[in-house]
Amino acid sequence: MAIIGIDLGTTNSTCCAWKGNELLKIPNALNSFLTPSVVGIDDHKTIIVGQTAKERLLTHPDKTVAVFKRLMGSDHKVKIASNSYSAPELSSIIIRSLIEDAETHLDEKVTEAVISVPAYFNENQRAATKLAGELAGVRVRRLINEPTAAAMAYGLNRRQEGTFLILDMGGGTFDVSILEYFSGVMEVHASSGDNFLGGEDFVQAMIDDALVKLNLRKEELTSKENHLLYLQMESLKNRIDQVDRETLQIQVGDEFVDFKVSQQWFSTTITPLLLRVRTPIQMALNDAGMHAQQIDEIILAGGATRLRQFRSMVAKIFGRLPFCDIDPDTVVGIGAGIQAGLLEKNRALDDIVLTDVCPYTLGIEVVDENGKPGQFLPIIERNSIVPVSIERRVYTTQNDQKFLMIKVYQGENRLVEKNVFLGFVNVPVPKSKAGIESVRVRYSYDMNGLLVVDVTVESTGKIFNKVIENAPGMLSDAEKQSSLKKLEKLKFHPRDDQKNAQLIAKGDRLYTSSLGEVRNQIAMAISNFERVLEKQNKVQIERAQKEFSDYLEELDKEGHF
Amino acid sequence: MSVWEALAIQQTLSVNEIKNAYAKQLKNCRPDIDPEGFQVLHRAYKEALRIAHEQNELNSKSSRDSEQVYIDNSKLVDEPLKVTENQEVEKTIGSVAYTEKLNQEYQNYTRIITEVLKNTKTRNDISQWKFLFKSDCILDPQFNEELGLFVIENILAINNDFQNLTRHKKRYSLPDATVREETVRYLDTIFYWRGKVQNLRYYFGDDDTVKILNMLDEYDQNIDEISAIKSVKGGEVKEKASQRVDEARAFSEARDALGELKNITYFTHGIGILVLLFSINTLMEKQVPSEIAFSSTFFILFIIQLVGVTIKNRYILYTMWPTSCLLLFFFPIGTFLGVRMGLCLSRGLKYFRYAR
Repeated sequence: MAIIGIDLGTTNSTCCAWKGNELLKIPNALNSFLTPSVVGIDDHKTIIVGQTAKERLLTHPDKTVAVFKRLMGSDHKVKIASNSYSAPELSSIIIRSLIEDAETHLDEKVTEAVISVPAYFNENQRAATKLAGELAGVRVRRLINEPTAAAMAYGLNRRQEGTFLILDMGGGTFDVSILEYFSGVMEVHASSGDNFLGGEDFVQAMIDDALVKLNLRKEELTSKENHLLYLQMESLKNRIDQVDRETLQIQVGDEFVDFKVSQQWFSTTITPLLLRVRTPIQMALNDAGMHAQQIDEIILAGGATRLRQFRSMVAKIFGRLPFCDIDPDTVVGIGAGIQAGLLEKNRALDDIVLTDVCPYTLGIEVVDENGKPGQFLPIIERNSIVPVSIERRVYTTQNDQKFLMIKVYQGENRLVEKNVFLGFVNVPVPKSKAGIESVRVRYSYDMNGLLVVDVTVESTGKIFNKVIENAPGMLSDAEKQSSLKKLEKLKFHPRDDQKNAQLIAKGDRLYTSSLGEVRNQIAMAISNFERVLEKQNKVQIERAQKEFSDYLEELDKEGHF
Repeated sequence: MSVWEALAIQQTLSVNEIKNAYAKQLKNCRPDIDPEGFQVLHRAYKEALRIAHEQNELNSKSSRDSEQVYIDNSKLVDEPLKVTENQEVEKTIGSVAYTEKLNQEYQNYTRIITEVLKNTKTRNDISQWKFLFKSDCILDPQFNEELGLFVIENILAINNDFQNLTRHKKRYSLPDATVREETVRYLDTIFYWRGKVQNLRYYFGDDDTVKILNMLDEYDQNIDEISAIKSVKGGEVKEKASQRVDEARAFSEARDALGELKNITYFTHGIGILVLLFSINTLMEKQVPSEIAFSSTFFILFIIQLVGVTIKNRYILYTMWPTSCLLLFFFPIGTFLGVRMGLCLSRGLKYFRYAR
């Protein structure tokens, strides 16, 4: 019986657990702490997850999917092979594979989990994340905000008191949190963010710019060529500090087009995205009522904060260098692991209490004095400390009104149509004149950032808390069961075999992305490796694995893919 | 229960003492175990902090000249110098060369911005604004802010000039006579005026600030949703029950088609003039009776106008105005003849029959 902490990322996921008196980072079957958030189905109709699936994105784009975290909380489904999956279902597959890793490593059953979410995730997205955990067969004890998790990791590591500003830029989301740590209390003052700003957007900006410069349209390239371009740009982004000037060869049809890149080009391309970083920072500072000078330390989390350009931008805003001594890729996972330890009442952690805030304003739709519908009435203001419970009273507006429709919204605009719709509760009220009957709407926001709405009819005293129907991406119990059944049927790739599968997938990818003589060599190497596998001799396989993996690594470096 | 009772301490102005008391009490009512108790405690804590800060401020004001405060101030001044962990950043940001570079770029940028804004063709073309990212100066907060003020000042000037035009002139001016809201919204992603309302108020006054904010008050979730779908790698995203996305896509397609619409305008305009020329020509040569020529001209022009109104294409309507003037000239004759239109048409048919 263990609780694990899971960082369910856009690009990579990690998982950590608290065992004894220390934190354990849990490696996956390929012995890496990072599992790419990629899901695929292989030729034998078994599910593959992580690096192996990632390698197959190029060779089997129709059977593999990545960056689906961005669809969380929406109604969209993704079709891979012949089945359609929703984003929570795909996420649950990732979580399941992480749990499997944890169970192998900890040698005990995992029944509960803490899952991290971007601080700026809205209700629908949080609910979808919780659902993903449930579909994977664990109880989600807590959803923890990613920047808060990062702060916990740092707070525990250094035990230094003060006020911190955490910038968390991962693959898909950017979060800002301001928090204070003193005598065992970790208090979040404000959170803000941008749900569509991350490493993936940098790569996309590079691709878009290259296509414009080459006078090409995305539709003119095949999906394979598009993905090849994506891989080239991604790899360029990761090694941009070592690049001065370089010419990329971009495949268009049967030809190769030269595209000159440089650090200067990269900086120019991502500047519009970097500029978007300021908005959430400013908002968080305003909401916390602080100046940039009052922040003691700036802490970075998330892989995209490795970019030199990002760091120098932050340095320009604050006039000093940000701080980052825990690996930004795993720091959120570590924080989630610590939270898991806290929930287990681990004695080593007993002295920390965490308080968080809700990042959005929550309210209902009302009619204003002039009879204009569609106005937003805030009930819980953004950055209120959670848990919080607030009640407002609303009245009927028509004579003989039979029902009061409570529509729940989240957002900052005065008009509801520009905010996020979360669902509604329809409450019957006794007939009377307009403005006589009233209901009390109580919003309770718990530690997980999940909302409960209670509506009490004043005159009858009846309470309605049948919460939130019709929210996008939500499932009824029956749907949940059928979804669970569907997922149970899936066969997973055998764990021992994962290394071999990943190597072959990588070989396939390199084969597709190279040409001529090299191609034949790769094909040769793959078939040799497969022959060794057939012999099922453990010692030979291990040796062949090593050789084959080194060979591919070498190719990967040369080819810049 | 008073604030101090909730925290279980005597009234104090020491922030540290309040914090420690809060931390101690918090262990007894953790937010996840006792939410109500926590809310009471937290409210008391915030209130205590507020009282302490207020009092401390008052006290420090009354003893502003005292020595201790003076020493404190000097400490504050010294601190930034001590924190030179990374000298590289400090050096480049504070140095004379850096400031000089910024000044030079500022001159350079303002020149280009003036040019782009002056030209009606470039001012609303987003690709023309990409030059702003050429140097990393734009990332410097102060540089960005000053340049932003310069840009918005010029935009306001252009749009206010337009507002002051007479109604007649406004109606027939080109669509790019103003800087459009989309452009301002795009530029706001670079200069972030929304977050600097006080600054705007200070420089431009209330009226203009409200104007700017009105232009920025649009946030489209659909764009987020589309980019979410776009960023998914592999697989095939099936869009279920999302009318909003469809609408947004239709909107962006319509925007693309706008360029083509301009061509339609020239086309219709051309047809109108051709029809006029043709009818004048036939009149001169007296090949057909004048009633037929007039009424058919009137009829065709009427149809074109009708098309313009029904598909709500203002380009057709705007650029048809010279032909519309002629139409007005023909109108009395047209109505007079219009009564006899049926007759004319039948006579026309007869004419063609005779001709054959």
